[in-house]
Amino acid sequence: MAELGILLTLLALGFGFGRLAERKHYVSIREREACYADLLVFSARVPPEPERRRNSQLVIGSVVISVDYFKRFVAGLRSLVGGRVTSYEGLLDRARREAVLRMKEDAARVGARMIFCVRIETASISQGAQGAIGSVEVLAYGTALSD
Amino acid sequence: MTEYSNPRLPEHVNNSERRPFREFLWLTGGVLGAVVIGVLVLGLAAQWVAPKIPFAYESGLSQPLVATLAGDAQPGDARIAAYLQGLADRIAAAQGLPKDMPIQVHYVDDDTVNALATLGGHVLVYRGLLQRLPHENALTMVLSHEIAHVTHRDPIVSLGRGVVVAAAVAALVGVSSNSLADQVVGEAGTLTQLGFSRSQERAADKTGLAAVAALYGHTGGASDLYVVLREESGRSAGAAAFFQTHPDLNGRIASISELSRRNGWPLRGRITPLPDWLATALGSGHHPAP
Repeated sequence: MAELGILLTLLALGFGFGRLAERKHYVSIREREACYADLLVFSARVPPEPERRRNSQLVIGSVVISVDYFKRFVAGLRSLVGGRVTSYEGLLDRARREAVLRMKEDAARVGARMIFCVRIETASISQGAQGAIGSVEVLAYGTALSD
Repeated sequence: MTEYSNPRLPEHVNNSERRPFREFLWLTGGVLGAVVIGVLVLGLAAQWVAPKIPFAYESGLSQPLVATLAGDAQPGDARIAAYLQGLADRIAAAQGLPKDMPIQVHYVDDDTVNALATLGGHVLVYRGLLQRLPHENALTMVLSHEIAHVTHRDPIVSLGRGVVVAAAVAALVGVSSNSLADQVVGEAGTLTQLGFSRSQERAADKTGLAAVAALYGHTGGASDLYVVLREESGRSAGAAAFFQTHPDLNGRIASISELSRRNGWPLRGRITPLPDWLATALGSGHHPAP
Protein backbone atom coordinates (compact mmCIF):
# COMPACT_ATOMS: atom_id res chain seq x y z
CA MET A 1 0.00 0.00 0.00
CA ALA A 2 2.90 2.31 0.75
CA GLU A 3 4.33 1.71 -2.70
CA LEU A 4 1.03 2.74 -4.24
CA GLY A 5 1.14 5.97 -2.26
CA ILE A 6 4.70 6.66 -3.38
CA LEU A 7 3.75 5.90 -6.97
CA LEU A 8 0.80 8.27 -6.90
CA THR A 9 2.87 11.02 -5.26
CA LEU A 10 5.60 10.69 -7.87
CA LEU A 11 3.01 10.75 -10.63
CA ALA A 12 1.37 13.84 -9.21
CA LEU A 13 4.73 15.60 -8.82
CA GLY A 14 5.77 14.60 -12.32
CA PHE A 15 2.49 15.75 -13.77
CA GLY A 16 2.45 19.06 -11.92
CA PHE A 17 6.07 20.08 -12.35
CA GLY A 18 6.24 18.65 -15.83
CA ARG A 19 3.32 20.72 -17.05
CA LEU A 20 4.66 23.84 -15.38
CA ALA A 21 8.09 23.42 -16.92
CA GLU A 22 6.59 22.67 -20.32
CA ARG A 23 4.40 25.73 -20.31
CA LYS A 24 7.21 28.07 -19.26
CA HIS A 25 9.49 26.58 -21.85
CA TYR A 26 7.01 27.05 -24.67
CA VAL A 27 6.49 30.68 -23.73
CA SER A 28 10.24 31.23 -23.84
CA ILE A 29 10.52 29.34 -27.14
CA ARG A 30 7.86 31.41 -28.87
CA GLU A 31 9.40 34.61 -27.63
CA ARG A 32 12.83 33.78 -28.96
CA GLU A 33 11.52 32.41 -32.23
CA ALA A 34 9.88 35.76 -32.84
CA CYS A 35 13.13 37.44 -31.90
CA TYR A 36 15.23 35.37 -34.32
CA ALA A 37 12.73 35.23 -37.15
CA ASP A 38 15.07 37.18 -39.43
CA LEU A 39 17.83 34.64 -39.15
CA LEU A 40 16.84 32.02 -41.71
CA VAL A 41 17.80 28.39 -41.52
CA PHE A 42 17.93 26.06 -44.51
CA SER A 43 18.42 22.37 -44.76
CA ALA A 44 19.65 22.82 -48.36
CA ARG A 45 23.35 22.17 -48.92
CA VAL A 46 24.01 24.90 -51.45
CA PRO A 47 23.36 28.59 -50.62
CA PRO A 48 22.16 31.05 -53.29
CA GLU A 49 25.12 32.54 -55.22
CA PRO A 50 27.39 29.72 -54.20
CA GLU A 51 30.43 31.23 -55.96
CA ARG A 52 30.47 34.24 -53.62
CA ARG A 53 33.07 34.31 -50.93
CA ARG A 54 31.53 34.52 -47.50
CA ASN A 55 32.57 34.09 -43.94
CA SER A 56 31.32 30.72 -42.80
CA GLN A 57 31.35 29.00 -39.44
CA LEU A 58 30.01 25.81 -37.91
CA VAL A 59 27.30 26.64 -35.39
CA ILE A 60 25.82 24.21 -32.93
CA GLY A 61 22.83 24.23 -30.64
CA SER A 62 22.17 21.38 -28.26
CA VAL A 63 19.76 20.77 -25.46
CA VAL A 64 19.12 17.91 -23.04
CA ILE A 65 15.64 17.61 -21.59
CA SER A 66 14.70 15.05 -18.97
CA VAL A 67 11.49 13.03 -19.00
CA ASP A 68 9.36 13.46 -15.90
CA TYR A 69 7.92 10.51 -14.02
CA PHE A 70 4.40 10.99 -15.28
CA LYS A 71 5.49 10.93 -18.94
CA ARG A 72 7.60 7.88 -18.33
CA PHE A 73 4.71 6.03 -16.65
CA VAL A 74 2.31 6.82 -19.49
CA ALA A 75 4.93 5.81 -22.06
CA GLY A 76 5.44 2.54 -20.15
CA LEU A 77 1.72 1.78 -20.41
CA ARG A 78 1.83 2.72 -24.08
CA SER A 79 4.59 0.21 -24.59
CA LEU A 80 2.07 -2.46 -23.55
CA VAL A 81 -0.85 -1.41 -25.72
CA GLY A 82 0.88 0.46 -28.58
CA GLY A 83 -0.05 3.70 -30.28
CA ARG A 84 1.34 7.22 -30.40
CA VAL A 85 3.32 8.21 -27.37
CA THR A 86 2.01 11.77 -27.31
CA SER A 87 3.74 12.49 -24.03
CA TYR A 88 7.12 12.14 -25.72
CA GLU A 89 6.04 13.94 -28.89
CA GLY A 90 5.64 17.20 -27.01
CA LEU A 91 9.00 16.67 -25.38
CA LEU A 92 10.79 16.21 -28.67
CA ASP A 93 9.02 19.14 -30.27
CA ARG A 94 10.27 21.40 -27.48
CA ALA A 95 13.74 19.98 -27.63
CA ARG A 96 14.06 20.38 -31.40
CA ARG A 97 12.87 23.97 -31.37
CA GLU A 98 15.11 24.81 -28.45
CA ALA A 99 18.12 23.27 -30.18
CA VAL A 100 17.46 25.23 -33.36
CA LEU A 101 17.09 28.42 -31.32
CA ARG A 102 20.38 27.86 -29.55
CA MET A 103 22.02 27.27 -32.90
CA LYS A 104 20.58 30.58 -34.08
CA GLU A 105 21.92 32.30 -30.97
CA ASP A 106 25.32 30.87 -31.72
CA ALA A 107 25.08 32.16 -35.28
CA ALA A 108 23.88 35.59 -34.21
CA ARG A 109 26.88 35.89 -31.96
CA VAL A 110 29.20 35.65 -34.98
CA GLY A 111 27.06 38.03 -36.97
CA ALA A 112 25.63 35.52 -39.42
CA ARG A 113 22.66 36.24 -41.67
CA MET A 114 21.66 32.69 -42.46
CA ILE A 115 22.50 29.11 -41.59
CA PHE A 116 22.79 26.48 -44.30
CA CYS A 117 22.88 22.73 -44.33
CA VAL A 118 21.15 22.44 -41.00
CA ARG A 119 20.94 18.92 -39.55
CA ILE A 120 19.12 17.84 -36.44
CA GLU A 121 20.07 14.73 -34.47
CA THR A 122 18.36 13.15 -31.52
CA ALA A 123 19.94 10.91 -28.93
CA SER A 124 18.35 9.26 -25.94
CA ILE A 125 20.26 9.10 -22.71
CA SER A 126 19.01 5.93 -21.09
CA GLN A 127 18.49 5.69 -17.39
CA GLY A 128 16.89 3.22 -15.09
CA ALA A 129 15.86 -0.37 -15.56
CA GLN A 130 15.44 -1.98 -18.94
CA GLY A 131 16.70 1.02 -20.86
CA ALA A 132 13.86 3.31 -19.92
CA ILE A 133 14.31 6.72 -21.49
CA GLY A 134 15.88 9.08 -18.98
CA SER A 135 16.66 12.20 -21.00
CA VAL A 136 16.62 13.14 -24.62
CA GLU A 137 19.36 15.18 -26.25
CA VAL A 138 18.79 17.10 -29.48
CA LEU A 139 21.66 18.52 -31.45
CA ALA A 140 21.17 21.03 -34.29
CA TYR A 141 24.16 22.11 -36.37
CA GLY A 142 24.78 23.94 -39.60
CA THR A 143 27.01 26.30 -41.52
CA ALA A 144 26.43 29.93 -40.59
CA LEU A 145 27.09 32.33 -43.42
CA SER A 146 27.70 36.04 -43.00
CA ASP A 147 27.75 38.46 -45.88
CA MET B 1 17.09 37.29 -49.44
CA THR B 2 13.82 38.91 -50.27
CA GLU B 3 12.29 35.79 -51.72
CA TYR B 4 12.47 33.91 -48.39
CA SER B 5 10.37 34.46 -45.32
CA ASN B 6 10.00 32.93 -41.88
CA PRO B 7 6.37 33.02 -40.80
CA ARG B 8 5.02 31.78 -37.45
CA LEU B 9 4.09 28.15 -37.97
CA PRO B 10 1.01 26.55 -36.40
CA GLU B 11 1.83 25.20 -32.95
CA HIS B 12 0.33 21.80 -32.64
CA VAL B 13 1.48 19.96 -35.70
CA ASN B 14 4.12 17.93 -33.88
CA ASN B 15 2.78 18.34 -30.43
CA SER B 16 -0.84 17.35 -30.24
CA GLU B 17 -0.97 16.34 -26.59
CA ARG B 18 -3.88 18.39 -25.41
CA ARG B 19 -5.16 16.17 -22.62
CA PRO B 20 -2.37 14.27 -20.92
CA PHE B 21 -4.38 13.52 -17.80
CA ARG B 22 -7.26 12.00 -19.68
CA GLU B 23 -4.90 9.82 -21.67
CA PHE B 24 -3.31 8.70 -18.40
CA LEU B 25 -6.71 7.73 -16.95
CA TRP B 26 -7.71 5.81 -20.06
CA LEU B 27 -4.45 3.91 -20.21
CA THR B 28 -4.28 3.10 -16.52
CA GLY B 29 -7.92 2.11 -16.34
CA GLY B 30 -7.65 0.00 -19.46
CA VAL B 31 -4.48 -1.79 -18.46
CA LEU B 32 -5.58 -2.42 -14.89
CA GLY B 33 -8.97 -3.61 -16.09
CA ALA B 34 -7.32 -5.98 -18.53
CA VAL B 35 -5.00 -7.29 -15.82
CA VAL B 36 -7.86 -7.89 -13.39
CA ILE B 37 -9.96 -9.68 -15.98
CA GLY B 38 -7.00 -11.70 -17.18
CA VAL B 39 -6.10 -12.78 -13.67
CA LEU B 40 -9.69 -13.78 -12.91
CA VAL B 41 -9.95 -15.83 -16.07
CA LEU B 42 -6.61 -17.50 -15.44
CA GLY B 43 -7.64 -18.22 -11.88
CA LEU B 44 -10.81 -19.92 -13.05
CA ALA B 45 -8.92 -21.92 -15.64
CA ALA B 46 -6.44 -23.04 -12.99
CA GLN B 47 -9.31 -24.03 -10.72
CA TRP B 48 -10.68 -26.18 -13.51
CA VAL B 49 -7.37 -27.84 -14.38
CA ALA B 50 -5.88 -28.35 -10.92
CA PRO B 51 -8.13 -31.18 -9.71
CA LYS B 52 -7.12 -33.17 -12.77
CA ILE B 53 -3.58 -33.38 -11.42
CA PRO B 54 -3.29 -36.88 -9.94
CA PHE B 55 -3.29 -36.98 -6.14
CA ALA B 56 -0.08 -39.00 -6.18
CA TYR B 57 1.81 -35.99 -7.57
CA GLU B 58 0.94 -33.91 -4.50
CA SER B 59 3.20 -35.93 -2.22
CA GLY B 60 6.32 -34.61 -3.91
CA LEU B 61 5.39 -31.09 -2.87
CA SER B 62 3.89 -31.86 0.48
CA GLN B 63 6.89 -33.06 2.50
CA PRO B 64 8.73 -29.73 2.68
CA LEU B 65 5.41 -27.96 3.20
CA VAL B 66 4.49 -30.14 6.19
CA ALA B 67 7.95 -29.59 7.64
CA THR B 68 7.53 -25.83 7.33
CA LEU B 69 4.06 -25.82 8.81
CA ALA B 70 5.02 -28.03 11.75
CA GLY B 71 7.89 -25.67 12.42
CA ASP B 72 10.31 -26.35 15.21
CA ALA B 73 7.78 -28.14 17.40
CA GLN B 74 8.52 -31.64 18.58
CA PRO B 75 6.54 -34.52 17.01
CA GLY B 76 4.41 -34.83 20.15
CA ASP B 77 2.82 -37.71 21.97
CA ALA B 78 2.48 -40.73 19.69
CA ARG B 79 -0.67 -41.87 21.49
CA ILE B 80 -2.44 -38.63 20.62
CA ALA B 81 -1.28 -38.95 17.03
CA ALA B 82 -2.55 -42.51 16.85
CA TYR B 83 -5.90 -41.51 18.36
CA LEU B 84 -6.29 -38.68 15.85
CA GLN B 85 -5.27 -40.94 12.98
CA GLY B 86 -7.88 -43.50 14.03
CA LEU B 87 -10.59 -40.85 14.03
CA ALA B 88 -9.37 -39.52 10.69
CA ASP B 89 -9.49 -42.96 9.08
CA ARG B 90 -13.12 -43.42 10.15
CA ILE B 91 -14.01 -39.96 8.88
CA ALA B 92 -12.26 -40.58 5.57
CA ALA B 93 -14.25 -43.78 5.12
CA ALA B 94 -17.48 -41.90 5.97
CA GLN B 95 -16.66 -39.28 3.33
CA GLY B 96 -16.03 -41.97 0.75
CA LEU B 97 -12.43 -40.92 0.20
CA PRO B 98 -10.79 -43.40 -2.21
CA LYS B 99 -8.08 -45.69 -0.85
CA ASP B 100 -5.36 -44.09 -2.97
CA MET B 101 -5.92 -40.75 -1.21
CA PRO B 102 -4.80 -41.56 2.33
CA ILE B 103 -5.13 -39.05 5.13
CA GLN B 104 -2.09 -38.60 7.34
CA VAL B 105 -2.69 -36.71 10.55
CA HIS B 106 0.20 -34.87 12.20
CA TYR B 107 -0.14 -33.79 15.80
CA VAL B 108 1.99 -30.71 16.40
CA ASP B 109 2.96 -29.95 20.00
CA ASP B 110 2.54 -26.19 19.68
CA ASP B 111 0.38 -23.52 21.28
CA THR B 112 -1.15 -22.48 17.97
CA VAL B 113 -4.93 -22.77 18.04
CA ASN B 114 -5.46 -24.15 14.58
CA ALA B 115 -5.87 -27.18 12.35
CA LEU B 116 -5.21 -27.26 8.66
CA ALA B 117 -5.13 -29.49 5.62
CA THR B 118 -2.49 -29.27 2.96
CA LEU B 119 -1.23 -31.12 -0.11
CA GLY B 120 -0.89 -34.86 -0.16
CA GLY B 121 -3.68 -35.49 2.32
CA HIS B 122 -1.65 -34.20 5.27
CA VAL B 123 -3.73 -32.77 8.09
CA LEU B 124 -2.03 -30.92 10.91
CA VAL B 125 -3.67 -30.51 14.30
CA TYR B 126 -2.05 -28.24 16.86
CA ARG B 127 -2.04 -28.80 20.62
CA GLY B 128 -3.54 -25.35 21.24
CA LEU B 129 -6.71 -26.33 19.40
CA LEU B 130 -6.90 -29.77 20.96
CA GLN B 131 -6.72 -28.27 24.43
CA ARG B 132 -9.83 -26.23 23.81
CA LEU B 133 -12.07 -28.98 22.40
CA PRO B 134 -14.99 -29.79 24.68
CA HIS B 135 -15.75 -33.29 23.40
CA GLU B 136 -15.11 -35.79 20.64
CA ASN B 137 -17.96 -34.56 18.45
CA ALA B 138 -16.30 -31.17 18.10
CA LEU B 139 -12.96 -32.83 17.34
CA THR B 140 -14.62 -34.97 14.70
CA MET B 141 -16.17 -31.88 13.14
CA VAL B 142 -12.78 -30.18 12.96
CA LEU B 143 -11.07 -33.21 11.46
CA SER B 144 -14.00 -33.84 9.13
CA HIS B 145 -13.82 -30.26 7.85
CA GLU B 146 -10.12 -30.55 7.11
CA ILE B 147 -10.51 -33.95 5.49
CA ALA B 148 -13.31 -32.49 3.37
CA HIS B 149 -10.76 -30.00 2.00
CA VAL B 150 -8.67 -32.96 0.88
CA THR B 151 -11.71 -34.72 -0.60
CA HIS B 152 -12.50 -31.63 -2.65
CA ARG B 153 -8.81 -31.28 -3.69
CA ASP B 154 -8.82 -27.74 -2.29
CA PRO B 155 -5.07 -27.55 -1.53
CA ILE B 156 -4.02 -28.29 -5.10
CA VAL B 157 -6.67 -25.92 -6.47
CA SER B 158 -5.43 -23.06 -4.26
CA LEU B 159 -1.85 -23.77 -5.18
CA GLY B 160 -2.65 -23.99 -8.87
CA ARG B 161 -4.58 -20.76 -8.80
CA GLY B 162 -1.82 -19.03 -6.86
CA VAL B 163 0.93 -20.23 -9.17
CA VAL B 164 -0.93 -19.29 -12.34
CA VAL B 165 -1.76 -15.82 -11.06
CA ALA B 166 1.80 -15.26 -9.84
CA ALA B 167 3.21 -16.40 -13.19
CA ALA B 168 0.86 -14.12 -15.11
CA VAL B 169 1.76 -11.16 -12.92
CA ALA B 170 5.47 -11.92 -13.27
CA ALA B 171 5.12 -12.02 -17.05
CA LEU B 172 3.31 -8.71 -17.09
CA VAL B 173 5.79 -7.13 -14.70
CA GLY B 174 8.70 -8.34 -16.81
CA VAL B 175 7.30 -6.63 -19.88
CA SER B 176 6.64 -3.25 -18.29
CA SER B 177 9.53 -0.80 -18.18
CA ASN B 178 8.61 0.94 -14.96
CA SER B 179 10.17 -0.44 -11.80
CA LEU B 180 7.85 1.16 -9.25
CA ALA B 181 4.73 0.13 -11.14
CA ASP B 182 6.26 -3.37 -11.25
CA GLN B 183 6.22 -3.56 -7.50
CA VAL B 184 2.63 -2.41 -7.24
CA VAL B 185 1.38 -4.92 -9.79
CA GLY B 186 3.51 -7.63 -8.23
CA GLU B 187 2.10 -7.02 -4.79
CA ALA B 188 -1.42 -6.93 -6.09
CA GLY B 189 -0.87 -10.38 -7.49
CA THR B 190 0.81 -11.72 -4.40
CA LEU B 191 -2.42 -12.23 -2.55
CA THR B 192 -1.77 -15.85 -3.29
CA GLN B 193 -1.42 -17.47 0.05
CA LEU B 194 -2.19 -21.14 0.37
CA GLY B 195 -5.50 -20.12 1.91
CA PHE B 196 -8.88 -21.35 0.87
CA SER B 197 -11.64 -19.19 -0.49
CA ARG B 198 -14.91 -18.65 1.33
CA SER B 199 -16.80 -20.95 -1.02
CA GLN B 200 -14.23 -23.69 -0.45
CA GLU B 201 -14.66 -23.30 3.29
CA ARG B 202 -18.44 -23.49 3.02
CA ALA B 203 -18.27 -26.61 0.87
CA ALA B 204 -15.88 -28.21 3.35
CA ASP B 205 -18.31 -27.42 6.18
CA LYS B 206 -21.10 -29.12 4.26
CA THR B 207 -19.20 -32.30 3.47
CA GLY B 208 -17.66 -32.33 6.94
CA LEU B 209 -21.02 -32.05 8.65
CA ALA B 210 -22.45 -34.85 6.52
CA ALA B 211 -19.63 -37.14 7.68
CA VAL B 212 -20.26 -36.19 11.32
CA ALA B 213 -23.95 -36.98 10.92
CA ALA B 214 -23.07 -40.32 9.31
CA LEU B 215 -20.70 -41.26 12.14
CA TYR B 216 -22.78 -40.15 15.15
CA GLY B 217 -26.28 -40.04 13.77
CA HIS B 218 -26.68 -36.39 14.77
CA THR B 219 -24.88 -33.07 14.46
CA GLY B 220 -25.01 -32.06 18.10
CA GLY B 221 -21.76 -30.61 19.28
CA ALA B 222 -20.47 -29.88 15.79
CA SER B 223 -20.48 -26.15 16.30
CA ASP B 224 -19.49 -26.28 19.96
CA LEU B 225 -15.84 -25.57 19.16
CA TYR B 226 -16.73 -22.32 17.45
CA VAL B 227 -19.10 -21.33 20.25
CA VAL B 228 -16.45 -22.03 22.89
CA LEU B 229 -13.81 -20.07 21.05
CA ARG B 230 -16.12 -17.20 20.37
CA GLU B 231 -16.79 -16.86 24.09
CA GLU B 232 -13.15 -17.26 24.92
CA SER B 233 -11.82 -14.92 22.25
CA GLY B 234 -11.72 -11.95 24.56
CA ARG B 235 -9.78 -13.78 27.23
CA SER B 236 -6.92 -15.56 25.55
CA ALA B 237 -4.63 -14.55 22.72
CA GLY B 238 -4.64 -17.98 21.13
CA ALA B 239 -8.40 -18.03 20.78
CA ALA B 240 -8.36 -14.50 19.41
CA ALA B 241 -5.93 -15.61 16.71
CA PHE B 242 -8.22 -18.49 15.77
CA PHE B 243 -11.03 -16.00 15.55
CA GLN B 244 -9.03 -13.92 13.09
CA THR B 245 -8.18 -16.79 10.77
CA HIS B 246 -11.77 -18.04 10.72
CA PRO B 247 -13.59 -14.78 10.15
CA ASP B 248 -16.98 -16.07 9.19
CA LEU B 249 -17.58 -17.84 12.50
CA ASN B 250 -21.14 -16.68 13.19
CA GLY B 251 -22.18 -17.46 9.65
CA ARG B 252 -20.73 -20.92 9.89
CA ILE B 253 -22.42 -21.68 13.20
CA ALA B 254 -25.72 -20.62 11.64
CA SER B 255 -25.12 -22.63 8.50
CA ILE B 256 -24.41 -25.77 10.52
CA SER B 257 -27.89 -25.54 12.08
CA GLU B 258 -29.39 -24.74 8.70
CA LEU B 259 -27.72 -27.69 6.97
CA SER B 260 -28.80 -30.05 9.73
CA ARG B 261 -32.39 -28.90 9.44
CA ARG B 262 -32.37 -29.21 5.67
CA ASN B 263 -30.93 -32.72 5.68
CA GLY B 264 -33.00 -33.94 8.56
CA TRP B 265 -30.09 -34.58 10.90
CA PRO B 266 -31.00 -34.33 14.56
CA LEU B 267 -29.43 -31.32 16.24
CA ARG B 268 -29.18 -33.07 19.58
CA GLY B 269 -27.87 -36.44 20.54
CA ARG B 270 -25.47 -38.32 22.73
CA ILE B 271 -22.19 -36.46 23.05
CA THR B 272 -19.10 -38.68 23.06
CA PRO B 273 -16.50 -37.37 25.50
CA LEU B 274 -12.80 -37.26 24.73
CA PRO B 275 -10.67 -40.14 26.06
CA ASP B 276 -9.71 -39.85 29.76
CA TRP B 277 -5.99 -39.97 29.19
CA LEU B 278 -6.09 -37.08 26.70
CA ALA B 279 -6.30 -34.30 29.27
CA THR B 280 -3.12 -35.36 31.05
CA ALA B 281 -1.38 -36.12 27.79
CA LEU B 282 -2.05 -32.60 26.53
CA GLY B 283 -0.40 -31.08 29.55
CA SER B 284 -1.39 -28.29 31.87
CA GLY B 285 -2.89 -26.06 29.23
CA HIS B 286 -5.94 -28.23 28.83
CA HIS B 287 -9.12 -26.33 29.68
CA PRO B 288 -12.14 -27.65 27.84
CA ALA B 289 -15.55 -26.06 28.12
CA PRO B 290 -18.05 -27.65 30.52
